[in-house]
Amino acid sequence: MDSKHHLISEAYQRRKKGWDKFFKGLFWLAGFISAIFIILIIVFIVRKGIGPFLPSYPGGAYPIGKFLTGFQWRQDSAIYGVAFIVINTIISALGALLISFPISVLTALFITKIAPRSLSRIMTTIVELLAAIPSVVYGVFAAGVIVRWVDSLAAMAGFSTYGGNSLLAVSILLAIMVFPTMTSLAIVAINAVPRELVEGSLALGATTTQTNFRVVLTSAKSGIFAGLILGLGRAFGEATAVSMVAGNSMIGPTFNPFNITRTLTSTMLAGLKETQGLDYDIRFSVGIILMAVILVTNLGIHFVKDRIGRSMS
Amino acid sequence: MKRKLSTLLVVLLVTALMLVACSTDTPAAEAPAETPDPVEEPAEGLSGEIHVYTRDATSGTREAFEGGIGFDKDEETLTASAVETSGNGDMASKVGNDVNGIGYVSLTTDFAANNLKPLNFEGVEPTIENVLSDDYSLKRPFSYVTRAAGDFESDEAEALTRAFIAFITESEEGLSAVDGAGGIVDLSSAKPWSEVAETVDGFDPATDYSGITLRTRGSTSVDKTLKAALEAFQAEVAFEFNMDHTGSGDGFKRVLGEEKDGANAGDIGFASRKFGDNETVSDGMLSGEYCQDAVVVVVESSNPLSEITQQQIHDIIVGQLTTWEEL
Amino acid sequence: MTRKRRIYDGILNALTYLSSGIAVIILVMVLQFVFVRGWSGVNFDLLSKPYWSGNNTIEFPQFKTGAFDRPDHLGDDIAFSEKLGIGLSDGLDAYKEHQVVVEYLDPESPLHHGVVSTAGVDLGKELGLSEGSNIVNLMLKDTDDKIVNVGAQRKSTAEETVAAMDNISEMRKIYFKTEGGGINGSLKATLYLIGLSLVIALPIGIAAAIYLNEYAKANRVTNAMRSSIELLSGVPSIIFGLMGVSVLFPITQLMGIHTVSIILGALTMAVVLLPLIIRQTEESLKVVPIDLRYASLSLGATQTQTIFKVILPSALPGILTATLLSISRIIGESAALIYTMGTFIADRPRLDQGATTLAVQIWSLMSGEQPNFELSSTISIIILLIVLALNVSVKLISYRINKKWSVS
Repeated sequence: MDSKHHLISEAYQRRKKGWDKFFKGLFWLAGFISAIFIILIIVFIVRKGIGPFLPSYPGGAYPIGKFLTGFQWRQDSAIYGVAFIVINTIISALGALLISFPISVLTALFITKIAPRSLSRIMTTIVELLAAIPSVVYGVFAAGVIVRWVDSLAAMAGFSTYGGNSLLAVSILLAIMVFPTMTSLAIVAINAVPRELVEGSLALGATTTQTNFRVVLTSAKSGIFAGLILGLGRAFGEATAVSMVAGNSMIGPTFNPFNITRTLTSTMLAGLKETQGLDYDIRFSVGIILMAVILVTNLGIHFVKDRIGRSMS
Repeated sequence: MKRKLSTLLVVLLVTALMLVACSTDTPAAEAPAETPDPVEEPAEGLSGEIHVYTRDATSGTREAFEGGIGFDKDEETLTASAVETSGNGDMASKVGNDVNGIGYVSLTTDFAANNLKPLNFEGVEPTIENVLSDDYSLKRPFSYVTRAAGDFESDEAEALTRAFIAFITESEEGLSAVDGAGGIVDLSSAKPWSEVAETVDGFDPATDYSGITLRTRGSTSVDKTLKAALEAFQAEVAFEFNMDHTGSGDGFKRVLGEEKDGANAGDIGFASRKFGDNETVSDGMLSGEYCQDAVVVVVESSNPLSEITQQQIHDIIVGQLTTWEEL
Repeated sequence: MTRKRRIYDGILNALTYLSSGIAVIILVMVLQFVFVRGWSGVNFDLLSKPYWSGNNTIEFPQFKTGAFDRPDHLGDDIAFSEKLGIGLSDGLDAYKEHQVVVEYLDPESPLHHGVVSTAGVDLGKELGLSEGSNIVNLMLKDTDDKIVNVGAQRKSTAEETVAAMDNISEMRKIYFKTEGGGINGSLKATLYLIGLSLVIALPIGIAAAIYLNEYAKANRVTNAMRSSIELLSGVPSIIFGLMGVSVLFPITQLMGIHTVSIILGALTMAVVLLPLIIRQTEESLKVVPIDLRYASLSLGATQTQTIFKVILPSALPGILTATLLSISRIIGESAALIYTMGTFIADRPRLDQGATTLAVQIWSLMSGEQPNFELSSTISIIILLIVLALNVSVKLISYRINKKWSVS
């Protein structure tokens, strides 16, 4: 009886172990699938995006040098130069940060250190609400309101606009859209500042405000910086709303804020219903450029994160 | 005490800012973007740079327009400062929002709703009468082509396509729907649909077509007339339609060309021009034209301009004429 | 504290108030914008109404005119036909197209008793004219035995239409449109998309989180896995759209679908959601105390049993949060779906065909022939309300999680 019991137990153990192994494999597979997608995305988009520049491309290769350094994007003359679009994208994103960054840092400081508790709760909810508004709603708002601001502002400054569709409209729109991202990261960063630091500053005779601006913000700067980069990434990648107010100019770069512009994403969305041919494939090439820009910012985030990690420990 | 003070302060501040915000926002809210802003710049003696709007490269309206104004595609290029719009409606709303804008749209467009002013071309007003009498020269046909016979998803789809083409080209109901939507058609030889239906090969009104989806592709300019016709056809035969229009260039491509089995394949392709030589419409089961349309040069409604000559618009398009003063 | 210091501090503090004020104003303005334009359109009908108008032709086998009195409550702008008992007005639809709208129909009006003459399953069924419909074309024989066509298609005014009706000798047929402009199709498509995306993404995401949190050793492979997933969350949605049509489209083609489809949209959204689900689930797995695992294992449970019977139930609120966040992400998504599901508003969405979600319907309305701000704003309000409700639920859940583990 003893041995019989032993036998059952062993079979049972083996079965249990088998199941354990099976599930471990299943879980691993899920993790593997999740991780492999970024590689799939890169491989497929690069393969498709590189296509137009290869000699085997049907209809002849498009010179890659002209693509990377061109300052015109004209489907009608089959000229595809992405250089000015990259510059435009960077300018509009930087413009957005210029508007949004100070406001979000100050708002974060307000929420964490200055506002009374009840007000701070309300503000947190407001920031979360702003983050939750879908981008297409912001697009409708931009097409209905922001373009009018820009138009009247331009009229005051003596410029004429293309119905308000402009670089400035894109920047204001993006500023609003990245605000919640940057604010919430700044809040996290400020909350992570050690209490002792604040107390030490106060004990040395600094006022609360001095402490807030000099000590708290300075110590939270890496975290705030990470938020900045994340905001930049979001500004680069935003598509639907931006294309509603960008205007899609054919030449560039655009430096006049009242002039129309063209971003990487608005280029990818323009005429998006094509499904074949150079006009379609070249969008993947633009996608590669966009990914490269984003990847650089993402690497930046990791770099900053590592630095925060080191400075904390 | 201090907290109370700060709360008071913030309440005051927020209300003040809100008031400012509301006062700046109210005019915008009262005047929706698609209607004219009453305080637009003074209309007399418009000055400044001309903003040229054009359509995307696949547009048939663009081709008809450029052909009509004597723009040589191979010799000349469009001014690089032009704004490219994605469709007829996009063009209409953008020019309507820009005092300095000039563009071109289909005659079927609702000018008033888009805050647009149609210009006389070479002294002739763009009206249906003038197009029919050949006085107005900037015009083009709306053409269609179907998939090749036997290449439809089902026999029912093929029969329904035949029936719809007959409906839109021969029947009273179809032609008056196109007419009602602004297309220019000849109603004199139209017959009632009940008669036309009997002549359509393979089409049987007793068959249930409600599960069939007719997919139309191609020109965005045909949108309005085609939608009216499809809806009128729906009133005669129960079926579904799917209109996914992107530009005349895709009309042929998606029913007979390289994209005919792609994600955006269609049953009937449309072009707002004649099909080109390299578009072999004879491969299709049916092809032809269903109405005439004019291309109209438009400006924003407060623009004092009301006439334009072929030479003027040509010079504007190629970028030789860049300011309103020069006009 | 010197006076100067105090003023200086005051200014700095005021700046933070100002910044927060700006945030408040932006939110107020966005809300004001959509509510001013869209609120009048919000009603329950909208949810059940199709986007496209129904098109019907009806005939009248037994047609008899009557003598009707104009009801007193009808306004001056409504033309009334005494022979047919119908009140008509001139209207404009959302695209500024002229309509002849049925405002009033006498209960005894002969126009109630029509028969469908549209070929199809409904042929011969009874169908009358109803209030709110738009008379596109009405074909009748007048007292001179001449065929007359009136209605919106012929650009007749309500007045002219009524004049023709009062001169009728024989009714031929009426082509009328029912009211459209609803969001029923998009709503259904959104629900299908949510359901399908979650069915695909949740199991994979949760399993991946379990692997990363419970099994994975701290080595380079795991690190690479983690950074890959994190990188995925930084990819902009338009790139996901490109991925959908290049990587996933061949998969749906294998299923025999040759066009953009809800299935393709769902596969794409599943990939978009993976990083979010994995992160949220992992967060909730992390807070499950390690003691619970030891207790379970020491009682003789296998690791699989521990995961399914002990850890997962404890992590359930976190998984629920992930689900709710995923739903709000799907509702807000547009760029990726424009590529993978198309922009045609389908009233009867099917999984193997293109359709629009609520957000894409807004895009479609804004980029169409006539930008339709009113309906777009109305849909925006509906989206905002749903997203708000989801966010509140997430907050409540996370509040409960915190309470649970801080107590135990």
